[in-house]
Amino acid sequence: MPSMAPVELDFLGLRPAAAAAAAADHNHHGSTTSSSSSIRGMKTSAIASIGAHQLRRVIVGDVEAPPKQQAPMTVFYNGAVATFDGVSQFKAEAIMKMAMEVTTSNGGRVVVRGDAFAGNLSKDDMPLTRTKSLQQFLQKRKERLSGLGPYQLGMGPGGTSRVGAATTNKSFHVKEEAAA
Amino acid sequence: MNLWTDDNASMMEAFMASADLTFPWGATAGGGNSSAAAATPPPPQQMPAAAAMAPGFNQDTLQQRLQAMIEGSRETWTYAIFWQSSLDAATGASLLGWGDGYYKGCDDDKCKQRPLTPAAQAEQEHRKRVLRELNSLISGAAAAPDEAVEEEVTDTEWFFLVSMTQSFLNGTGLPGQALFAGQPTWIASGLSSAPCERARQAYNFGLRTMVCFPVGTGVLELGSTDVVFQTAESMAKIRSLFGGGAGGGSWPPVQPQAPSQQQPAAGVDQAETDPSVLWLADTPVMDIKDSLSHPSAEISVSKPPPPPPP
Repeated sequence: MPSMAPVELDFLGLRPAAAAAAAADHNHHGSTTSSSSSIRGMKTSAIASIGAHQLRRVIVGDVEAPPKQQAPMTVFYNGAVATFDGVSQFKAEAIMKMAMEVTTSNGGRVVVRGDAFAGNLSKDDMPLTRTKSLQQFLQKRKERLSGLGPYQLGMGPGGTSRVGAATTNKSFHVKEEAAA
Repeated sequence: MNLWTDDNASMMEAFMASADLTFPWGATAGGGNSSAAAATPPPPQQMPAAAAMAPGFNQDTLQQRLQAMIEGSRETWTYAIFWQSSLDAATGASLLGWGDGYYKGCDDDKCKQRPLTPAAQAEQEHRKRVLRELNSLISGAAAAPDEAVEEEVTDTEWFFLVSMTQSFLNGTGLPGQALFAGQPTWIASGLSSAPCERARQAYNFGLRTMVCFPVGTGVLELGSTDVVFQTAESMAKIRSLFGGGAGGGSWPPVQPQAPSQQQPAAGVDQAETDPSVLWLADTPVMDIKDSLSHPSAEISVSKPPPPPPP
């Protein structure tokens, strides 16, 4: 089963297949509405109208965010969906802030659901039975994989011991597989 | 849309959608379903009549009872799922959707995927990504990083997770069939050729036994990576915990009587009027070989044979 391939999207369907990224880099600036560019091979007409240059800097530029502060970002726009993997919190906030600014300056509505910077999806959208079951499943899985019971895995200052146990468990698994 | 091979975005959408979103094996007409259902339709109404039909069925203790079934059985069950039935007020359609579940898992030897081909590696990355997303969704953005999401996601874990997004419309699928027939179904070893895509998928994910038992307001499903043959004892345990239809079962559990005696306290005398279920226990041993499976012999849909001697 293949991992997700990059998706090509023409958000507004304004332009047929346009010029390559190299040209866009030099020819388009600021917020010209007729520009289209591509970032990592993805057509990004609508985003380009926000400011291709700025956006590219935001998405591609900063690579210092540690992996654990990166998360996938899913954008729903006008019936099309794009998922970006490894977007840092900072970048995500910057993108959303820009989108909001453009929207309000164009006279559009900004609909903010829950915590604006927690992403499009919130657990309130999920049926309750599923949320509860998911919670239980993830919790029990954590316990199972770190070899600890619910009491040892408590909140607060249990950090060190938990990490220690997890590390121990990992090396235990490695040994198991080597022996197998 | 095929959840088994699709990417993160579809998987997350599936988790967000209400139970109205049907999947290939749940759809009635040619797998017609949309993955772009960003707007969640209103959830179907719970069947009001069902509560009256199952006065003893207690949702509060459902999780405990599922755990008791799994942990307290001699059989090695991998998971238990309770499918909740509901009625769509607008269309009159009957729907079975995720109600609750308990995952135990199986021995490491059996569950760990090896060897890790590039395709399997990519699949693992996909699963871990989804798990990470689900984890942050549940715990919120401020959650501490969870080392557990770096561990391999086993086939049975994945099957259990995907099950949360599934539903069965108007008696489709094994759970749907059990509900509509009012009869339990026990498939041990013939799973790969069962007349239900989810059952066949279960086989691909390492499961070898699947049981669907209509209870109260829905269907209890048990699955195992072992071949578990039906016994009167296991049936009695299911009945005592969950009831067999009108009865709700009991919690805390009552010790079931000796297998030869049917337990009227479970609420129904269904065991006595249910010879087709007992018939499944008589399936010949040769069915252990998957290649020789005779699905029709293992699924209780046809007329029952003569009742067993008392």
